[in-house]
Amino acid sequence: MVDCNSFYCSCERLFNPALAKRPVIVLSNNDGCAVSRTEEAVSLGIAMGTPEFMIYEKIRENNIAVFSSNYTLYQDISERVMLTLGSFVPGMEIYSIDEAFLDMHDLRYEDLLDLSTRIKKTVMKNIGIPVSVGIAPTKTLAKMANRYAKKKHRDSGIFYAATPALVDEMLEGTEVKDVWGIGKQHAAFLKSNGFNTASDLAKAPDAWILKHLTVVGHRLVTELRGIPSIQWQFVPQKRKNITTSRSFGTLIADKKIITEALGNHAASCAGKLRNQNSAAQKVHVFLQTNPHRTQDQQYLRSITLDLPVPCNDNASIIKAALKGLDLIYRPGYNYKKVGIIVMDLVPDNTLQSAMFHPNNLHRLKSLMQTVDDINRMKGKETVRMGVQVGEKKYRLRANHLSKHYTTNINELPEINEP
Amino acid sequence: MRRKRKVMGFPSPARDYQQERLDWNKLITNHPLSTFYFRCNSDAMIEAAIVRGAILAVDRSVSPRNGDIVVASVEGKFTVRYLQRNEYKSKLIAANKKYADIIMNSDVTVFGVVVSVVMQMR
Repeated sequence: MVDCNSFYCSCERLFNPALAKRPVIVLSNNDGCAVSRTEEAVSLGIAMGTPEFMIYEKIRENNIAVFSSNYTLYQDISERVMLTLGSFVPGMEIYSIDEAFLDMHDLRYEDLLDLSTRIKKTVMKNIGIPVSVGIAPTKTLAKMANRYAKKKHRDSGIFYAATPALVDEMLEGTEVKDVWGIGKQHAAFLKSNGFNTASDLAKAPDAWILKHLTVVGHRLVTELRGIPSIQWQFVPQKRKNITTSRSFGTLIADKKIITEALGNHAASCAGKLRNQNSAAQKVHVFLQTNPHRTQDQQYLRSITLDLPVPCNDNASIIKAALKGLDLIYRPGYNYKKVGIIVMDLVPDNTLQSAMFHPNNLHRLKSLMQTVDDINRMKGKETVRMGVQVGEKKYRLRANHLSKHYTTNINELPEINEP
Repeated sequence: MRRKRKVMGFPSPARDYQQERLDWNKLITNHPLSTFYFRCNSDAMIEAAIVRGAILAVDRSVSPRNGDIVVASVEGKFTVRYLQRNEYKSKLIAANKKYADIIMNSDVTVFGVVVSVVMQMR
């Protein structure tokens, strides 16, 4: 398992060398709470998920650099890292934006410690992102080894559980709650039953595990014992449904603005469908107020609409979404969030026109292809449906956003000298 | 079922000589994954024909050699300079007399090597 260290922060540092020695944090969508922290920020006591307003003082006193999340940048850097990692091994499973499992089973003649040193050095040199590496016989143990590398072997950033003794050392040094796949509730339950470390869990009787943690838990315990039991996913699975929703930057009551926002979400959803060559049979729309504002009247509604034929073009998805909104919108509330989920996806090469459906599918398909091509070349939303007006009125709060250094020709990092 | 043979013209005599058309993407950098682009708003390399407004393709994967043009961070800011290095020390040197040499120390880090310069004219 290779994991990028404080990934979002590392991306920000890459294009802003003045941050090299400053603590850095990156906030979640809408500038909510800290989701990535450098080591310096961690040691200042900034916990994961702390809302920004609770740490204003700390930020000022310690000169902490704060960023809004710049997902466009992180996604590009992530792709560079992943493709680089993939060149070292025969198989790889990308687990998240900053983590990947590398399959080293076929490399039994290679010195894996040497290989991981090379991987770490190469990603740092070529992309500029620091990573940690954990090597072990199973995915669950590799994830643990990675964590162990970060905690106990900070200098090298590598932990190779090469022998049973090293695996045992790691199991004993890892609490049950920190095992990959053990949720909060299970962790509490296990603790109350006397399981403190991962080692205790690995030694638990099979029957007991099966009874209390089901088959899934048993698979996990088997992995802790060094027997691979969790499937690898070398090819990312197609998603079964796709959600696009955003909170508004401020509360919004105006239906026109909500309609625009939903139009944009629907178009983005349709684009994701086309990207994975799927088409949707159902569209689900939801609208909600802010449940944390107890002084406001609350409203939460959602509706699912069937599409006459499976589709993935902007016009059909937007039309269905707006119809849904018409049905659930009630005036007089301060809305916080609107979203769309497209469901019951089918492959789009099997599309058939309904007998009396007016749309000519081939023409529609080539139209969307043209729209996608233009938008790819000339920038997002150059060509769009009438309802997708500018984003400004409802855009997320992102007061500390850095630039799209690697994807926008007008936002390149600059070399400035008078 | 027998098909009629398609009627075709005389095959192009140039076909055997066809080569792939030049592709700027490949000429600008050999390593797109490790190449980052910078905007040069500096006249420090004016005598090396790098003018203000130029786009620099900077490859991190190639190892900098003596005489390469590099992008480096100096006291928290990006600069572009010649890298001059010998056994004893390394220096960053501008191609413009206005700028003093920069001695390499722990506050100076080479970001990558400039492998191409692009100037967009319109």
